[in-house]
Amino acid sequence: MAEEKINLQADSFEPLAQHTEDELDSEKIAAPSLTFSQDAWRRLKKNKGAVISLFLILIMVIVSFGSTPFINHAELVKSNPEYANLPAKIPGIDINGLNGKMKVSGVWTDVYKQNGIKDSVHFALGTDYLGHSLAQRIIYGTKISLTVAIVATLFDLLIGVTYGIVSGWKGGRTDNVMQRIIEIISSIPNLIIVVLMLIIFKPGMTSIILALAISEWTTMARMIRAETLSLKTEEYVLAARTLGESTGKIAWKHLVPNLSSIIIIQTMYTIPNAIFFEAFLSFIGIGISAPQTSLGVLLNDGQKNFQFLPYQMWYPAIVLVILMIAFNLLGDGLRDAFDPRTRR
Amino acid sequence: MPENRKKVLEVKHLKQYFGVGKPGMVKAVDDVSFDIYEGEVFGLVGESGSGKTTAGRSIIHLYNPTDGQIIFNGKDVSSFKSKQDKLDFTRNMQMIFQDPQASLNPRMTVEDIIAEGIDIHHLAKDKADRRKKVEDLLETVGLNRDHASRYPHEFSGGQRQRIGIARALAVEPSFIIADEPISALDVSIQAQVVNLMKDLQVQKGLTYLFIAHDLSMVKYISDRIGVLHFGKLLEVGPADDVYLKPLHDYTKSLISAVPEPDPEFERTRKRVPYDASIEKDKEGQPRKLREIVPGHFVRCSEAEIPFYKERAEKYETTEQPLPTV
Amino acid sequence: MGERILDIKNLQINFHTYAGDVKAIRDVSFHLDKGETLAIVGESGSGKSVTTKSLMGLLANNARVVGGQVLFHGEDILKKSEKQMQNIRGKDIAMIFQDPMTSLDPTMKIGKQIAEPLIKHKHVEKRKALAQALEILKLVGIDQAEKRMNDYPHQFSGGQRQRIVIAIALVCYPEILIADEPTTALDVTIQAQILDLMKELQQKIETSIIFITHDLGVVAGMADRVAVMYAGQIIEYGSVDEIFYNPQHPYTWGLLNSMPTLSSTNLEAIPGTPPDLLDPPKGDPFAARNPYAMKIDAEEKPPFFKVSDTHYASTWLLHPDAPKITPPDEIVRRRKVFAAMQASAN
Repeated sequence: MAEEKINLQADSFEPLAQHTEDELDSEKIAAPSLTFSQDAWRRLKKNKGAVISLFLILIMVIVSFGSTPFINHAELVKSNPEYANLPAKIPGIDINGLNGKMKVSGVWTDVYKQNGIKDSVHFALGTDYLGHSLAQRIIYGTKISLTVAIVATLFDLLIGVTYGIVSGWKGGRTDNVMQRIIEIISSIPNLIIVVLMLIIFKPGMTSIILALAISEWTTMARMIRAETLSLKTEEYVLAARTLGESTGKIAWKHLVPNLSSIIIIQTMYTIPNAIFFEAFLSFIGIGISAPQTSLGVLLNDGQKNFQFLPYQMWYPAIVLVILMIAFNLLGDGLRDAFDPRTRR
Repeated sequence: MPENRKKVLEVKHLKQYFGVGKPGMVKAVDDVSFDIYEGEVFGLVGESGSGKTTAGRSIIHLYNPTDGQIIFNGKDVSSFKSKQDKLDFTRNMQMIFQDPQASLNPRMTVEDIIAEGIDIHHLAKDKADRRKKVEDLLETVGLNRDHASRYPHEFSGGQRQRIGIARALAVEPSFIIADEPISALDVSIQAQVVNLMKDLQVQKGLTYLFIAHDLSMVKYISDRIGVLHFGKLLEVGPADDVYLKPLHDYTKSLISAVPEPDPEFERTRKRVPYDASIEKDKEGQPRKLREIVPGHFVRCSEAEIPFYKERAEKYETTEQPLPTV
Repeated sequence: MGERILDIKNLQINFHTYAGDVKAIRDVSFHLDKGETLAIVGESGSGKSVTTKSLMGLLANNARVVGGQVLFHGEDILKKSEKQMQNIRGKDIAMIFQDPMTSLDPTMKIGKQIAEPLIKHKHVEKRKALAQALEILKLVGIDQAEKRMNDYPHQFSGGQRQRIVIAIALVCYPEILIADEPTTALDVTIQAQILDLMKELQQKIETSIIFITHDLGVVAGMADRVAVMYAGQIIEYGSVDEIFYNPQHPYTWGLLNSMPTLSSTNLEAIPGTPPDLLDPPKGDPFAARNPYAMKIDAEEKPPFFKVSDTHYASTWLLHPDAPKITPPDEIVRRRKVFAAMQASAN
C-alpha cells in the first residue's frame, strides 16, 4: 500500500469540524451553467458545413436586402440596347470569361471593344439581352425570392404552429376533424391552386405567396401536432395544470419552447422549398414574369440564350443552388444540434 | 380508527375507465373508495397496471372521473366551476411526480420552475420577493441558493425530485399527492427524499397521499396503507397491520417478495405465490371492502368474512416469525 | 472458489465533454472467479455500468481508457479489435440490460432471436439452433414454449420478456454473465421470480455473474461477494456476509442505514449528492457527506486497509492511529450478528 508516502500530521485524524461551503459542498455542480440555446449553438459550431451555410445565407440576406437603396426596380427595367448581351468584365482580372471576352465561333473576342463600349463601363457578371446588369438583377431577384420564402414561412409559422398545437392539445373529435381538413388541403396539388389563383389574380408574387400560404403549412401542422400529443402527457405539463396554469400560458411557456427546435428545423426546410417553388413557377411562366425579377425569371430568361450565352443562366443557377444547399445543410446541422440524443 | 379526526379527502366509488364504448375499454380504477384524515399519510400500493397513478390523477382532476365522487375539504371537486374555485383547489392540493427527468421543463430555469405556482396565484409582491421565496424553498429542500439560475439537466435525479417538491410547496398546499416520487431514484437517494417529505409533513402539517410500488418504503412513511390490484382496493388498514399481519393473499405475496438487505434472511426466505383468479367475483356474492379487525378492511364477500376473521385471529394467538437477525 | 477468469487492474476511464474530462472510473481493480456472483453496488454515476461496458467493449464514443487492464483468461480485452470483441461478446461474455423491451427486436420472432447467437457464434445449423433455443426457453420458465417460439416480443409481459432476454444471453453458455440492473424496471413480485431464475440457472449453466445494482436488498440474496462503488472508485469489497454484517466504510454504513428493513422505524439518509466527477475532490470522495470525516479525508485518498483475507475497505477510520468511533445503531446491530456468526462458525 502507498501508506508510507503519505505525510500524516498530528491533527490528521481530528474530526473535520465544519464542512466549509465551497470546499466540501456536497451539492456542488462543477460544469458551467449553459442555457439550452447556448448548448445548441456550441454543438452547431462543431458542424463546419452548417456554420459555412449559415454565413453564406447571412451574406446573401445582407447583400440582397442591403441593396435596396442602390438598386431600384424602375431603373432595372429600363432597357439599354447598347449594352445587351455583354459577358462578365471585372477590371484587373485577366481570365477569359471574366475580362469581357467571349468565345465567338471558337475564338475569344472582346465583346466590349467590338460593340464600342467605353473602357470605364464594365459589368461584373455581364448583362442580359436588354442590357441590364446581371449582377444587379441577380441581387434583386434573390431579394424577391427570399421575400416570397420569408412571407410563406411566416404563414407556415402562424397557421401551422397554431393549428398543430390546437389540434394536438384538444385531441379527440376536434383533432380528428382538424386532421381530415389537413388531408383534404394537402391532397390538392400546389400547381392546381396556383393555376386557380391566376383566374382571380394576375400572375405575380401575391398568387405565389397565397398558394404557398394555403398549402405549405400542413407539414408543419402535422409535425407540431404529433409533438404536442406527446408533450401534453409530459409530467411538467401535468404539473403546470395541477398548479392551475391556463391553457394559453401552458402553450406559451411549456409547449412552444419545447417545440422550438422542431419549428426552427422545419422552417429551414420550408424556406428552400418556397424558393424552389417560386423559381419553378416563374421558370414555366405562371409565376413572376419579366420585366419583374426573381431567380426563376432570370433562369427563364437565361435558358433562351443558353446555347450562345450560357453565363446568363449559370450565374442565377449557381446562386439558387447555393441557397438551396445552404438552407438544407443548416437545417441538418440545426437538427443535430437540437437533438438531445446526440448530446455530448 | 381516529373517527374524531377531520376527513380531508373522501374518495367515493371512484371509477376511471379509458376508451369507454370501444372494444379495448380499460377499467383503470374500478369502484375505489377510501378516506384520508387530516395530517396523515395514506400509502397507496400497487404493481404496474394496478391503477394507482390513474387514481392519483383522477383525484387531482387531471382526468375527469367516469363515475364516483372526490370530496375535498367537504366539497365535491367536480362541482368546481368558477375560475376562483378551481384556483383555490389547485392551491390546496398539489402533486409530486414520478419521473424527475420528465417533470421539469428542460427549457426553464429552476427559479422559473419553482416560481410557476407563485406567479399563477400572485404570491410574490415583486421580483425580489419572488427570488427570495424561490431561494428559501431551495434551502427548505436542501439545495443551494445559487442553483436557482441553473437548468434541470444539470442536476442529479435526487436533486431534481427535490426541485419538484419545492415547486409543489411554493403554493403552500395542505394536501400533496406524491405519485411514485421515489421509484425512479437510487435506493440511497430514496431515503433522502422520503425523510425530506416526512420532515416537511411535520413542519407544515401536510397530509399526503403517497403512491408507490415499494411496500417497504410505503410502510415506513405511511400511517395507513391501501393495496390496489387491477383497479380494485383489496386491503386497507394501519401500516403496521397491513405489513406485519396481511389478510389478503395478494398482500401476503407482495410482502414476501420485498427484498431485504439481509443475507441470512434472504437465504431462508419463502416467497408466497399468488393466483389472481381468486379475485373473480362469484355469482351472487358481491365483494366489497369489509372491516375484519377494527380499522383493517379486506375486499371480500359476506361469506368470506369468517375466513379472514380467523386469519386475523391467528396473528394474535401465534407469535409471528419476525425476522430476527 | 474456482479459477480466476477475469482480472481488472487499475482501470481508469474518462469521458470527454465540452466542459472538460469526466473522470468516470478512477483506478478500479477487482476480479471474478469461476462460478461466483460478484455484485457491484453503487448509485447512478458511480461508474458501475461504465466498468462493465468496458468489459464488453461497448463504451461510448467519447470515452477513453486512460489506463489499466481488463484480463479475460490472462488476455487484455482492451487491446482487442472490434472484430475480436464481436467473437467474445455474446459467446464468452453475455449481458442483460435493464429494459427488456428495448433489448429485444420487436420485428423478430423470439425463437429466432434466441437461436441467432448460436448460429452466429457456434455455427450451429438452423434447425438444431432452434431446437436448442426451445430447450433454453423451457429452462427460463416460459409456459407452452413450443407455441410461443413463434410469438413476437410485444406478446409477452415485462417479466416474461426479461426471461427471454436471459435466455438469449445464456443460450451460448457464456462464461460470464453481466446483469446491469436486470430487475430495476420490474415489479417486486416479478423481480423476485427473475432473481430466483438467475440463481437457478447459474447452478445449471455454471456461469459467473457480475450483478450491477443500486439496491443492496437485491444483492443480499444473490451475491457471493460484493464490491461497493462510489464516485468512480471501489471503496469496499468483501464477502456478502462481511459487507452486510461487518461493513467498514461510512458509505456502506450509509447505504445500509438508508434502507428500510422489516424492523426499522427510522431511516438515516446519506445527506447531499455524490461529487461531480468533472472535478473530483481530492482525498476521500465521500468526505463531504461523511459525518465521521477527519481532516486527512479532505487531503489524502485513503488506501485499502485489510479487514480479513477477503475484505478490504478504503477508509482512514481503519488506520491504527484513527480514533475509535461508534458506528450508527443499525451497523452496531449488524456487527452483533456478525460476531454471533463467527462464534458459531468456530
